Amino acid sequence: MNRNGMVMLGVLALVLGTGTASGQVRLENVSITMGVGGEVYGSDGNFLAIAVPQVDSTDSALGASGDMGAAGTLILMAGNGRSLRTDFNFGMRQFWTNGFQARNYAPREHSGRVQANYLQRLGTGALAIVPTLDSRHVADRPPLPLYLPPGYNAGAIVANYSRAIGTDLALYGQLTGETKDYTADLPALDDLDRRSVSLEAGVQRVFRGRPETRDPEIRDRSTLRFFGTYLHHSYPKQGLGLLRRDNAERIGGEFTLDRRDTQGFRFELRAEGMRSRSNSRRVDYNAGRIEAEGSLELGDNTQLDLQGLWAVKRYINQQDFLIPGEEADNATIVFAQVTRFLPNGVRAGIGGGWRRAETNFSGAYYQRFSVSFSLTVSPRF
Amino acid sequence: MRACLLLVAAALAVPLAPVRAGAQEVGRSPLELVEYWDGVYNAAYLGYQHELAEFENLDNDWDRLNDEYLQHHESNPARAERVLGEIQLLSHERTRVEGQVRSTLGEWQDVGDSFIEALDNYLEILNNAIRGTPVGDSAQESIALYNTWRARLEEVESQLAGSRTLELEPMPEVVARDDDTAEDLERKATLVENRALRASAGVGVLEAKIASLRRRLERDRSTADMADRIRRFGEMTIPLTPTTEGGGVPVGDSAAVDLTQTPEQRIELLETFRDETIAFVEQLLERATELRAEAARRRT
Repeated sequence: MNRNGMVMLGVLALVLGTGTASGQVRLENVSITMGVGGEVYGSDGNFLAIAVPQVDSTDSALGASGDMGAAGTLILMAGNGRSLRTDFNFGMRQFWTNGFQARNYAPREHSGRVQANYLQRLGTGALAIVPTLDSRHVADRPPLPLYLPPGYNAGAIVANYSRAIGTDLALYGQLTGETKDYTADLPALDDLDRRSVSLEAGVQRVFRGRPETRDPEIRDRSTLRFFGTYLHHSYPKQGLGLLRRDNAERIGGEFTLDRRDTQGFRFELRAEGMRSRSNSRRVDYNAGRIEAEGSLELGDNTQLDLQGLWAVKRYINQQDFLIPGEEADNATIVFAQVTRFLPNGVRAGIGGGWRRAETNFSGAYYQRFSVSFSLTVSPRF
Repeated sequence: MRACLLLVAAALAVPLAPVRAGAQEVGRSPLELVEYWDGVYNAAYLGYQHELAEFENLDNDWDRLNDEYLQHHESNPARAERVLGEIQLLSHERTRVEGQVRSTLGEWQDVGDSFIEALDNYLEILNNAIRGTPVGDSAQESIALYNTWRARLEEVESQLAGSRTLELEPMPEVVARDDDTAEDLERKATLVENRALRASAGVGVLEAKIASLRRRLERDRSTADMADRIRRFGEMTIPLTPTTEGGGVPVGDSAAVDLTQTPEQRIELLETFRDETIAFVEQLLERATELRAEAARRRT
């Protein structure tokens, strides 16, 4: 087990130990999922990703996968104006592939994420401290057209202070520090290692609609949020002599429409634009991103969940080289899942996804279609 | 880099600085702030009490009509039918006012938490002042203020604590007295049975509420399942721009820090209350059976 994995287990043990001693700990929202899926990969054969270990000339391949995972929340303290909770999410996925020219790969992914969230009421506001440990490991990472993000160990800490400035109107400021080290099973992956700092300020308004929706037992509401972020990324292993440092400004907005209790749906849309400038002029770019999420009740025991992303990036200057980890210029991702609620806290899901990334540089692309079936159980403790 | 640091400092200062518009703290001393929250708290408390009183009136009418319906549904079906119509009319209004009660209850509890926060701060200031002041008039004044607001804090905490519990109504004091006739005892037994029927209807309402909360929890979990699976395997990660691992922080949701009841806890509390109510119904029916047995004994 790697060092960060040990640290994560240590944090979890500490958290469990502390909670048990105080007698307040609650384990909630535990979900254990097992799934199987089939996938089709395609490309025009020219999409190059520097941080992928091999190159394979095939334009299409097939894959199957089996996965399992567990997620949940430990509530360690709640009440008297403060709360402490820890969310965890662990998983493993094994692929079988067919159709690659060199050989058929069998990648295996392990991932783990532990995020604590300490909230403290301060006057009319609230302070949140959110440390996160995140680890991902990929064995037998395949070449394109099956793109699997590389393994890494990451740690982040967020400090957020939000304050009500009127009825249902709040301002917030958020400072984030993050370090991300990619597993160095390939020298090019060292180039992706990154230290980041960001500072965000924003305003959020909640709209509660009709007077009866002020009833706390009805969650119907809409929220509108605008934010501006300054980001600084440094890459300690990218560049010769002069190491790469990026400074970026991001502005965006987010709208959430929650009508789950009266009309059975929820929709969230987030859009942002970013201007990134670097000490290396060849990586100056502007980027945009739109993300959408939704859920819709389909009868008493069925629900449709959707998640999508569209992202675009445009370099300012002529590109003669690919930038590691940033080879694509446009991407579209869509996921959908229909869940059927079964007795005893069991949920059965059938879902599908489509991911496509392409470059402006040569018009090259890769894409991936997937379908999966999963069973999830939420035991009660 | 210097420009960046200045930008960072400025951006940090904006949200952390006292907010000029709308903030209750601005231009108020700690005592004025406590007095301000005291006024807001009183208004919220009275608002809740007003809605609660209206609901209790409706609830009493509703109970009375239910009793009337039970009394006549066999002996006078036409009248029972009329009463049923009235119950249905009242039912809608009762549900609406019940929602208002929950709404004003939530507001009162939120305001109460802010008031307690202000009181805590002020009492700490007074405590420090008392420690640092030599014995004299000034110290006496601080002690008097401390005692006054300390008592108020206890009162508010006790009022709020009472608002956050589920309580069964007391067992009715209906017993067989020596001078009761068999008819008196039959009437008392019917009263107790009617109370049991009403409590049973409450069990139905609780069951519906538990089912609705469970359904909501299941649906939230279903959405979380997909998001967890996507995050678990980096499905949204694309080699386009750097991605960050932080996030997921609630914004402006100071109520979230008082998660005294998560949805699962709420369900557990309601289940416990439902079980207690069922036990209460069984006790009532047992009491009614005893009264009827006593009536039969006295008849013979």
